Amino acid sequence: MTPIICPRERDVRDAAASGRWPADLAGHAERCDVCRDVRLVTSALATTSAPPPADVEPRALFACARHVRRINVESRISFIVTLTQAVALIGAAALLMSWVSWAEVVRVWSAAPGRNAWIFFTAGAGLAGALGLSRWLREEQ
Amino acid sequence: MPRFSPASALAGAFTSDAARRLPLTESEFLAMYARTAGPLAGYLRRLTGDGALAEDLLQDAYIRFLSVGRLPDADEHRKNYLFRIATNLARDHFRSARRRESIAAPAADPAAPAQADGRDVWRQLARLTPRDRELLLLAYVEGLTHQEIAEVTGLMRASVRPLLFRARQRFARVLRHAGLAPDAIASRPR
Repeated sequence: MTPIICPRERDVRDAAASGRWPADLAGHAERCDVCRDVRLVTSALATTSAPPPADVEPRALFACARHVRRINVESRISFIVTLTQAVALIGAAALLMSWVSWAEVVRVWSAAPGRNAWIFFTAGAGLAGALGLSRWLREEQ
Repeated sequence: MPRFSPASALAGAFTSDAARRLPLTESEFLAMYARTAGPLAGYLRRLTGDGALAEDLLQDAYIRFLSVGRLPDADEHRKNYLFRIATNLARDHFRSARRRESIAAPAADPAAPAQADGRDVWRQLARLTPRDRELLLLAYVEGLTHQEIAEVTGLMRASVRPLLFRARQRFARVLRHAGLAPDAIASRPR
């Protein structure tokens, strides 16, 4: 079975990267299967030189990162505030409804002329209100 | 004109101070950039084979690096963390490129090194999988230890050795097959 490590692998890598080969190490790299591959791969990759980045201004990157961070933090807090507003709105609506005398409402309602028209009107108004609220929440986010 | 909303006003009041606090000061960042930009640019260039893309990924990597809440204390760990972010960005790019079926091949880079052997190696490097390229570049160009490679790639430390071995074997086979024998490359003066 082919060994997958060699204790001299690191030395071979350094020698191949620098191009300076001590005599015994060069001989070892010829004989050892692992080090032969390490030498070939390191030497080959060393020929693929890449120039440094030309168009990047680190100060602009820093300013951009500051801006991105500000937006991230703001959107997180904005979401929490919006959620709190929604909960408060629903709570206020529930409180208002608890004050209403429902038995009186039902009595007046059943005696009212054109009752069906009122039912449609109330349902429509409720639906419009719910849609408006959800749209507002989406915009706030 | 921006629309006033109580939520955003309140959020702004809370965040104006917090947002200024990046994990590094500007001078610390500039010093770190000077130390890491060259190696990171080279790594991304070799990994993607595309100079313009590598520059985009480099900028994204630094912005994300600065946008995190807290950075590791030691310089080496910070550098590895930066390389990890860059590696993940490159992986995302490869994934979306595969979806679009237009993977950028390193050999297509017009600004690839002018030497014939360099161009050949770029071409052979492009034949490997992105993960093999990551492992080989981190180990044999950046000179990272297995532990550091594990930190950058997110692999387990124990997995790095066999994966690196296989990647190295594959690349060596590809190079030999392409006629880039050890004597042709290793003895060439740099």
